[in-house]
Amino acid sequence: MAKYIIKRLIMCILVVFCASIIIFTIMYFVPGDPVEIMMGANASVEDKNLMREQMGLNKPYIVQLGNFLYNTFLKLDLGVSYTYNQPITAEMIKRFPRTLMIGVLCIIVDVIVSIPLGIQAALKQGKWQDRLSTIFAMACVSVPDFWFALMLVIIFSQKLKLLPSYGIGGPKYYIMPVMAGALAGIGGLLRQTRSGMLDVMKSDFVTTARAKGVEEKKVISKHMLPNALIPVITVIGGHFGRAVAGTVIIEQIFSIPGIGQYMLNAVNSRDYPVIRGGVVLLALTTSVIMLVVDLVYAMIDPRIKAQYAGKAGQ
Amino acid sequence: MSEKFLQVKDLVIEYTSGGQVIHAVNGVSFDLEKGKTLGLVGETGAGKTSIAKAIIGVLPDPPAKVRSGEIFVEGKDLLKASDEEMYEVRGNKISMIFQDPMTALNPLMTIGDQISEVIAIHSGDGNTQEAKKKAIEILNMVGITAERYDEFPYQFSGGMKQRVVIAIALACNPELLLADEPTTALDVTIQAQVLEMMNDLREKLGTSMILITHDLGVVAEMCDDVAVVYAGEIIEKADKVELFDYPTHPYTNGLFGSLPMMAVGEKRLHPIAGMMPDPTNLPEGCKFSPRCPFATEECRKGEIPLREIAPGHYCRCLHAARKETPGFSASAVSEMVTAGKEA
Amino acid sequence: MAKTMTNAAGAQQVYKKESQFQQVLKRLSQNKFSMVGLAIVILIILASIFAPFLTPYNPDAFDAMNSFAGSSAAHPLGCDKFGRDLLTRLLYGGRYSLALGFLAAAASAVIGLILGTVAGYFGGWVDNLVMRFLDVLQAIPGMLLSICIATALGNGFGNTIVALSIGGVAGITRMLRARILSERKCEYLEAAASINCSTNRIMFKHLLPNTVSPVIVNITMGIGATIMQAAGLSYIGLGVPVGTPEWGAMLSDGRAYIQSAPHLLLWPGLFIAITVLAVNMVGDGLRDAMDPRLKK
Repeated sequence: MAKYIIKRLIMCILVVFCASIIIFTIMYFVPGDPVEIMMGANASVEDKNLMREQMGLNKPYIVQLGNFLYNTFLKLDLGVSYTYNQPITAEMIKRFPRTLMIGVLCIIVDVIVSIPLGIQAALKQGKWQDRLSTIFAMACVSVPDFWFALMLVIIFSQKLKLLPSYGIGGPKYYIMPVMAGALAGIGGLLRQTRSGMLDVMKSDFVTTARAKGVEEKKVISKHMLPNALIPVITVIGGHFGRAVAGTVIIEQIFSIPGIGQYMLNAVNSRDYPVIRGGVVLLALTTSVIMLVVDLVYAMIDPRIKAQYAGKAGQ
Repeated sequence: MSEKFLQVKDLVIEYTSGGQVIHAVNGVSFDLEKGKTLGLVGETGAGKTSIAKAIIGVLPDPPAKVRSGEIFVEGKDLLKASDEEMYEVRGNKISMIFQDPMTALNPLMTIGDQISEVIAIHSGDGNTQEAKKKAIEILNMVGITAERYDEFPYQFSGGMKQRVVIAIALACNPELLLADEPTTALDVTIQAQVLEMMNDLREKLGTSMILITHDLGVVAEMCDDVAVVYAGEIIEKADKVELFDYPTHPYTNGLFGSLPMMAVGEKRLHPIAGMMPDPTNLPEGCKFSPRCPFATEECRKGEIPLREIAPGHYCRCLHAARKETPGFSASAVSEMVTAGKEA
Repeated sequence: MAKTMTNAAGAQQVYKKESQFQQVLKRLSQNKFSMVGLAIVILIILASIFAPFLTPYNPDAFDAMNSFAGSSAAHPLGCDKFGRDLLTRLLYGGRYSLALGFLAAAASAVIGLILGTVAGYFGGWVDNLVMRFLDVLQAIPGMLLSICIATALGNGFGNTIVALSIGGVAGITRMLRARILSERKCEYLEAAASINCSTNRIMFKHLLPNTVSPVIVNITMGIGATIMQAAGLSYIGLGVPVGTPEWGAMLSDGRAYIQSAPHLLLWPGLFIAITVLAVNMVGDGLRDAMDPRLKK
């Protein structure tokens, strides 16, 4: 198992490394000259050229790529922001916990809301509870999260004056961002839980459990749920990544000083090292989360666990 | 004669699916004496499994529903029992072996836990140590070593899984065992082992059994009485020797005609022509009449009664008469079937 | 048991010969929920195509008198900062939003179908290469990848389609490849080959219908998601050029007036939500119709 984890970790870093090459290449073609942005129109041509020289911007693509990868992965240095002239890594470290916090809270809310609803929908299959939850799930995935966030602001901040509409502080500040961020995930998880439960409900082993005299409540909690939730775990992994990435616009709307807000401000000023750094960091976060979810999955399902242990042993 | 341990009266089970009503079981009655084995024989889809699931109370509802009937075990109607009372009965007084061992076990629970679960439920004191000890004993009884207690179902072969399923069913010394095609999913070589093991254990524990099968060879080996089920009705029932010697209903004869009787020197099989009737739209009168070579006009109207044609031998046919000379002997069938399989 | 009985029953009936496509349409048309969705989608498409006939206003005509006007008989949904009629802009904006959603989803479908078929058909190192590339691509969360591409390409309709379509490629490719691989192992293909079915017949009569239906459902569901992402990109200023009456861009324009004119935020979002919901309703029904086994 340990061997397998290490193997997966190396794979994960490798994938993020390759993803960084793609991101660097895309951002390489961003139009506009960062030196113009940094120094403005007043600086002399000589100064600007000197600056380009210092930043290595006049070097060929492959050298710039090499520098970027070397700095990012060996020195853990994401470079300097063009607009603020600050080291990006320090800023990211400061902002990262907030983004992660919101992502984690979103997933917790997703799980708390959607799994009980999904179970109920499956148990009441075809009845009104089931239909209602189908419509609810579909509405959740159909409403744009950023618009939902704006509507929340209008209702809870402006009309009811209950919640702060921007910034970061106590728990109150998290309510609306998390509601908005959790929205899409609720729909997906609810449907997955429902279909997982329906699959399991028809299984022979559930009948076996009933035939053993296990009480219905325990049949559900002990025999159905663990089996139904296994496919759900994988979906949670995917949603986790999406939730962390999805905080980008949410942070912007609620002026939360996280990575997303930093990146979107950089989009407007074409400050591409910041965008690049943010994407690499979030890609790494997502990959690590997916890896952790995969491992959890393997721990829970003895079949997968044995498979992995077997693979690592080879 | 010993007491009637189990009595099933006029059991009617329907499935509702997409607005259609499937008449799975249509007024089945039979009884079973203590310690005896009854074979329910019939084609796939005849309603045999539904009968067994109704007895132990695990019919999937929806879509299945017991419309009417009574199931008495030692004089108590199980269909009127409360949930709590049924929890007590299931796995304890009555237990069931399911058809497909590959899917009958919870993939996320160890073999041992699945056996000790049923013991713990019915021992009343919830002593898990004690339950574990008993579970290991039972594992040994079905020929699985104690080291495998903590293994998961995926680590077991089909035959071994079926042993586990049987261990679960026998864990609380049930008075009635419902075995739903316990060997169909297994290799032929394993089948004999499992049957032999079941027989030994049943004799040791004095359990009554309902054995569901479409394999007449298994019936010949295991059963005392036989009931032939067709389209949700019992069309013929008798004790094994009588039924094998004097199969009377055309369908029963058809079943014997589809056996590979190598020893008799038959050149070819005689399968029953046609298919089972559509259970959403059963024919009036005799359900077998559309396939029956002897069917007449009067077969197609009204209820056909189950007539007693010889002491203890019932047949649901207007025309068939019990033959004068015996046709198949049970022991011969058993041998022939075994020979046929081995060939 | 009920299942086997219905099978036995089914075998007795003689089915009228219907193509799979006809059967799917028939089942879909029986699904009220999806039909409502389809009706809404068609209505919105028609309304945006025939917008000039439905509204007397020009979507870009300024009218200082009506700046931030509330709803009235002349302007049912009110006006924006420049006095432009909101309903008019929403109807015209449907053209952009729907076109972005449909075209980007179609683009990712085409790329995905090609990659998936190539990977599934050739297998071996080709498959490996494609799959590893997708691993890398999927390590970057979809919206972030779109943001990067849109930043690099700049604003514009075509650029937005490119930015949006890349994100959907991986899902479709993976799904199609998995289906092809699993179907290739299926015994019914061997059965078809054993009765001398031609390769073409096997491909088009057996393999394709069985692999393509989940992909079609995936694409349909993708349209809804893409419409939403398109709005998201435009909202953060990376989609269509500023001032275009695209629904996301309209939200972006209205953002500054969240306190004074919340109706500028309400309606565009509602249009997005209803459109996406309707598309998803069709997709949901399509999934049930394509594979009745999945219907639970």
